[in-house]
Amino acid sequence: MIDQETTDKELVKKVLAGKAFVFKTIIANTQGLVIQIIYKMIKNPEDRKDLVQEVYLKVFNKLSSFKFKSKLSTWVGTITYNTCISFLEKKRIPVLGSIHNEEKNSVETLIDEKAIGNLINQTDLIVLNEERSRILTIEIDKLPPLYRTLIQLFHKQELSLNEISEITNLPVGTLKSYLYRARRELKKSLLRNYKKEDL
Amino acid sequence: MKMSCVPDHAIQKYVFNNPECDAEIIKHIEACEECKMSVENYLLLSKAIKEQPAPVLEFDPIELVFEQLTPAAKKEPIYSKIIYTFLVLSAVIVSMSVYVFKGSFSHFFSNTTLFPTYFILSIAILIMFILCYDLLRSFNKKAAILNY
Repeated sequence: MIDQETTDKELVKKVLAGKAFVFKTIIANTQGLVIQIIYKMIKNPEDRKDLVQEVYLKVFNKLSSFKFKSKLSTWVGTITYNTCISFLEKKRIPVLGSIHNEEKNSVETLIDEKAIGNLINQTDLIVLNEERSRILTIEIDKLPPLYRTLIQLFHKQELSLNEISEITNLPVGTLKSYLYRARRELKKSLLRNYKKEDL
Repeated sequence: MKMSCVPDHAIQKYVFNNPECDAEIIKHIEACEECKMSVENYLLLSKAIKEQPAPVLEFDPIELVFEQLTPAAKKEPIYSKIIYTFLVLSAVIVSMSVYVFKGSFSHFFSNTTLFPTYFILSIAILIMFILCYDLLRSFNKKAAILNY
């Protein structure tokens, strides 16, 4: 952690001192996270490219305002997330989609969950076939942008809930609830997909 | 009395936030085959997400960003060109005016005493400095906004 902080400080200092080429290292160190967030929140390939550029130009221009209160990658992640949210808002694309309204049908949901639970047991988890990754990608892409991103940050990037909270500026409790709904929705849609293929 | 199967959110809590899970629920899950299966399913789902390949990029982010950074660093901003043009034009106009009206300009202060002349000039210079300072400050502010 201390090493990471020192490295971050050294990199930022060098860039601010005019060694712009050091910014390449910052991009290389953070592009994994930036690309995961942008690719999960934005579907259009051209928009993704523009946003990658926009995010790093913002990072470059705002670097002097970075106060080292978090990891540099987390700060870059926050800028990425906020840029994506602004983009989605401009395009009027809902961040949470229709799943957010599910709370209303809690009884129906409980029945569904029970049925789904049984189906999973019977089929011994359908995602364990040779097309698992492809199906999973398709099904994750069907989730609303925010849920896709949270699933990716928690399970793929293995970020802690606190780090995700810093990036998204959402309380940990809300994150847990969103992650729970996202996983439940993913499980449901995987089963729906499986049933269609089976028929 | 045997506890009935735990709900989905409790299973998820057991898998992903185990320390927060109730001892009673943990005890039940570890004893119940159906719940154990659900736990296994979520673990497999998590593992499958983890093993997904990283997105394939059609572009190099470093190249893409430096394409924009390099010209921005080298290129002189357009507003500074406008300022210089304005300054040169002003200097030309002032010099031309002095040249054209030099005859009448020499008699301008001849009828007045020295004190009012210096007084008027010092006030004019002071106002000019204040205006220049204000102009420069608002210019820097706007330039900073334009540059994020």
